Amino acid sequence: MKIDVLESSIADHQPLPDKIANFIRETIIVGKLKPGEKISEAKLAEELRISRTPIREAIRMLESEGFVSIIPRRGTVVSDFSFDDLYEYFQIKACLEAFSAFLAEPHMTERDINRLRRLNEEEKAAIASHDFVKYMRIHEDLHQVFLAKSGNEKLKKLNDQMMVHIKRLQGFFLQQPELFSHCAKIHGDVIDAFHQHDGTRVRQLVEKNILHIAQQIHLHGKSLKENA
Amino acid sequence: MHKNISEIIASHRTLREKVAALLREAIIQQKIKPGERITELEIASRYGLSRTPIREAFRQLESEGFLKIVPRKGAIVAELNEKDIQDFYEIKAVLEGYAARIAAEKITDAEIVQLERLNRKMKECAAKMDVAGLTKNHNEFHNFILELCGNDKITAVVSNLVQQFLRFRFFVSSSSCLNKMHSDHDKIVAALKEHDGAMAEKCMIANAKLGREVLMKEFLSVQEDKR
Repeated sequence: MKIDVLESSIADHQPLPDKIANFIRETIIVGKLKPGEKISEAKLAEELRISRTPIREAIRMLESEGFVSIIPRRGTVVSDFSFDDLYEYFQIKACLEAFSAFLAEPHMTERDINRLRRLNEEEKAAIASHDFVKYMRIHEDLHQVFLAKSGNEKLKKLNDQMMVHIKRLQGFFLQQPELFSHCAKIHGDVIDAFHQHDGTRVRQLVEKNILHIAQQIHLHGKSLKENA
Repeated sequence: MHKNISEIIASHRTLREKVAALLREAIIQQKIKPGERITELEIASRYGLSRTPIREAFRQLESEGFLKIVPRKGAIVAELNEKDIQDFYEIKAVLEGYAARIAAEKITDAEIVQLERLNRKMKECAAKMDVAGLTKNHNEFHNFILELCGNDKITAVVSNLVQQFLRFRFFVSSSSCLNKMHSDHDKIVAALKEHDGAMAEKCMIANAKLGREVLMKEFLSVQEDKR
């Protein structure tokens, strides 16, 4: 796989180790690297044509996120994960994000709500054209619009931390495009609630939606794992 | 084979965890004060370790909110202000409320008995002015409810938040405050007994608000003393 990581790193102003970590994380999320599989620093250095130092840094980042385990003198292994554990993080995310949305509601301007409506339209277009990776990105952007406005920095940080844990499930979310139309519809309802300044309804909708997604992924993923 | 690998991983993690635990305790005990700077080098040489586990411990403590890493300069012990206390209590309230809502559905009669016992112990300790006992039972009471919801990550998240504020010793000193606290706890137990999730959540959030007022008062008086 020929990826010019260096070049794209300069373009994005992202530090090299972060860029490498993103690349490896993606590979694990989509299942190209499976739990138990070894990750060789030397091989990566060769493939990506970079020195081992930033790669080692990237691997340490992934270890602290729980994606890999570094075993001294043996190497790095993709770590296993439990759907039950991730479901619990998802529950916390549902609770925190719903609350963030509630706190954000008074600060949402006309412009913000219009932005949300535009993103909602883009979501539906992405679903219609079966561009599910694009859908995921817009879904994320949409949430960020109100997550940034809660006024509680700690809350945002904590929510981001939950997101890191849940990233492992992204691949499974992508396998269930029927969930997307459901989401897009709920987003429409959320936007209406923001428009009506109904913080309580916003909160209920966001929590219910995230829990629904969490449950579907949990069911689907677990049955996949058991049948593997 | 599998067991061996997990043991090796566990012992490797232990060093980072140990250093993090040492530093965390030192910060909580105020041995290293808010605003004070610590460097990888000084910690490494003090414990005779390489810098790698120290660096990782710093990162872990940064993610927990105890330290702020300054590139090429080490780390600074995080300073807390009123907004931090407010933000922290907002999160604690919402997570504990959520946990109480779920716990209300699942709680068994035996568990209600345990909860009532803890509630009684709190009242006894308060009457005797046993601060340590009151604190211990108070924490057990809240942790018990968190654990009841069945999501142990919630317990970990809330306990991490609480740890950051252990530096402020928090005495529920006034009797009106104590009475309000007892009344709050009675309401929580009653709601859980009725399996009324919405009410349990509401009472839990009200109780968190009381905790915030107490901590805020203590924090502000400590700030006053500094001047």
